[in-house]
Amino acid sequence: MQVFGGTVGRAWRAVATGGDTPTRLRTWMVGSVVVAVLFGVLGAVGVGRRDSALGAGDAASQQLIAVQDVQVRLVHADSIARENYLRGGIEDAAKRATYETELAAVSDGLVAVGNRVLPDDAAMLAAVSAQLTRYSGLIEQARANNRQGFPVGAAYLRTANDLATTMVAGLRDVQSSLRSQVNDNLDGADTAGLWLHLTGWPLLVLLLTGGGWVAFRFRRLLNVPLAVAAGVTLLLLVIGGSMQGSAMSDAENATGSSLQAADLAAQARSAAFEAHAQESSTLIARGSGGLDVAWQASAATAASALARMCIITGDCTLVGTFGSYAEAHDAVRASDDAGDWDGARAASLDGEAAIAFAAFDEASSAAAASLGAEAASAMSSAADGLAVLRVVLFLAGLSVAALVLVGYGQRLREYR
Amino acid sequence: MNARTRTSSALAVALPALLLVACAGGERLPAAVQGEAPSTSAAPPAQTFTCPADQQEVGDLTPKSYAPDGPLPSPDDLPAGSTMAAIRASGTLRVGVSADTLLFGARNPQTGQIEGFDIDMLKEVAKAIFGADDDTVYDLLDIVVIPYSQRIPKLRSGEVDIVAHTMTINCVRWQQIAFTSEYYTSGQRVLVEATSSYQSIDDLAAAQATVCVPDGSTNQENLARDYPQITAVAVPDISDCLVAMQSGAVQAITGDDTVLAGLQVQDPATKVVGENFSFEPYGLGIAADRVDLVKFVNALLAEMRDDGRWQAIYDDWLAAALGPQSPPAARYGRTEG
Repeated sequence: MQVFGGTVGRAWRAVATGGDTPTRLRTWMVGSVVVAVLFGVLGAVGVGRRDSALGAGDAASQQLIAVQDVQVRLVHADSIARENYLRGGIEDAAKRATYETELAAVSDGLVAVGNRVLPDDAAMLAAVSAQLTRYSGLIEQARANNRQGFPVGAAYLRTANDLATTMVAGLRDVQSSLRSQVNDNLDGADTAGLWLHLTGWPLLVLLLTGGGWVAFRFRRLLNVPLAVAAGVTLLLLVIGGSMQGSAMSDAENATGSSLQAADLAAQARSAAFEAHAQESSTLIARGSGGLDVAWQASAATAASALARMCIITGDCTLVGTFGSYAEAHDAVRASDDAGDWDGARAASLDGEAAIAFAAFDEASSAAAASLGAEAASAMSSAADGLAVLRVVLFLAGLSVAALVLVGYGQRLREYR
Repeated sequence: MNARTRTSSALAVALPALLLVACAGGERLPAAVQGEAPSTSAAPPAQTFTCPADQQEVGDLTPKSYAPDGPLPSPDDLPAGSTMAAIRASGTLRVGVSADTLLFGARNPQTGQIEGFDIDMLKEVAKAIFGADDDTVYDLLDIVVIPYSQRIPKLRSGEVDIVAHTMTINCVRWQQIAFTSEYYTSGQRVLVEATSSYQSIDDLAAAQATVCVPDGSTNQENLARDYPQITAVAVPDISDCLVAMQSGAVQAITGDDTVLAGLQVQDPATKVVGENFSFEPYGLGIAADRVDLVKFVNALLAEMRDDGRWQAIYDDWLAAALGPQSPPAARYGRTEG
């Protein structure tokens, strides 16, 4: 340590005074070693940070997909609850079973995701979880009153629907937070990538300049250790930079394509179920066509999400499938508005509108599952190889430092 | 230019380029999609109506209706060119009703039909126009379920021929539509828990209780005007009041006794208490320019009062909940123009 300190002192004095050749050799050597070590350490830390930022982005995207799944299941359950209420005393047993399955999945999903998100988001999910218990109680009271023909059942149903709307708003807030986390982590990963370049290129310049000066000063063609060090550094900059860039590019491509498409698919399904639920509510409040404004708002959201999804994926099938349902819904409203409530109810529950919506549900469910899996896979594989690169960079930085010592050491020995 | 200078120049060129590449922002997740609902035109400002002095409600008097021109004509002898003949020609009587006012107009989930006191009144009107029997008359009703706020607009737009919807006759409404003679006399009362010690609205006022009332109703106006010490909780619909009381959010509900009777049937753990503290004469609403239909229905109501049909319908739906009651007397005297 004392020897190294003395060398540094002599080197600085040489820089200050111009110095003799051994001193200048030591100056180049110390400077290059320091930068090489920095290159190894900071490069490894930078790659590690990009790796962990991409990992965090991947985790946030998985949580986003999971929260969206919870929301879609909740609005699906609410849509079934309203549909079964419209059926009156005799519910569709299969749909009732689906309602219970969806509600159980919502409950489990809230707990599972709540354990993985940030504390603020977890608190919002806990609030939704508490509301879920009250929601299912209200639906049961709506059912019990409906079976007895008591109109107060509709009031319970409305209260439950309002609560579901509040819960969905809470889930949307969590999704908004998770979208920000995905984006913030991608920004963080972007910045972390600089570290390799900020240390690597100066090191390369030092090695080439120092190696050139040594070759010129000692009339040699090449200082082999310094040349190898420069080659290794260049190789690391090219390969490491390429791997880092590729990881970033993969993550951004996954975000811009499959994750965004999965996000839109979930939003479209959620809005479509909300629209379907509004169709039932409008018929429950028989003749109150004013409620259709809510259907139109939800349908507009679904159509907008599907249109964007179509641009990203190039598959526009769902736009047409949802359009078919929208046309069938218009027919339902036309029947109800014309006084044929029974016809409108039949079309909504088991006729054209029901068939069209079931087709959309099936197709969009498959698309959402496929896009969700694709997004999860793409995001998680984006950072592949960065962990290895980090270790390689660290070891390579030390190796370059060692080569620098050997390279300048050969010339220094000539002065002993 | 020496080697050091060249190196510096190269760095100066390369580093910004590298920084640009490294910092270039790629694809990010956009915010959630928000579709826009079609815009709805703003509602026109509400018209204000005043009651002429000779039509103000005084005591228990109701604003007068048009006297029938004579006995009720038979379905096959409806006056040519009349509103009744046009309805008969159309094949259905378009009616605006409530579907959530148990005992007056509520959907029976077993049959899918809307039934109650108001619906039976409308069936009698349909029988008088079409000559139908009990089995077929429901199919002759083109039922439009409407909220309270749409009772007058639906009549004025011509979307329905007649409204039976627990609608109080008052002179403000008379400026907008026509009413038949009174077919039921209601009044505002309170519904409390069966075990409650409150026996009247005065008890609730003395205790500064919390009472639920439908938002925008005459019940709400009465409560605010006459019992300001009560904390009123306004909800969109009277059924929402029952939800509020069952969840313990309010101690009582106030509304027309007819509506409270429907709530009491739905929750036997409640009771209607106290005397009426308002006077709510119900009439069937008809468009203002269809005076012939008003006179026709008035003739029908007169027959029903006399031949016991009104009483039978009352006994079917309301006697058990509200006790015995006789048909209200008709008050005529309104003239056209």
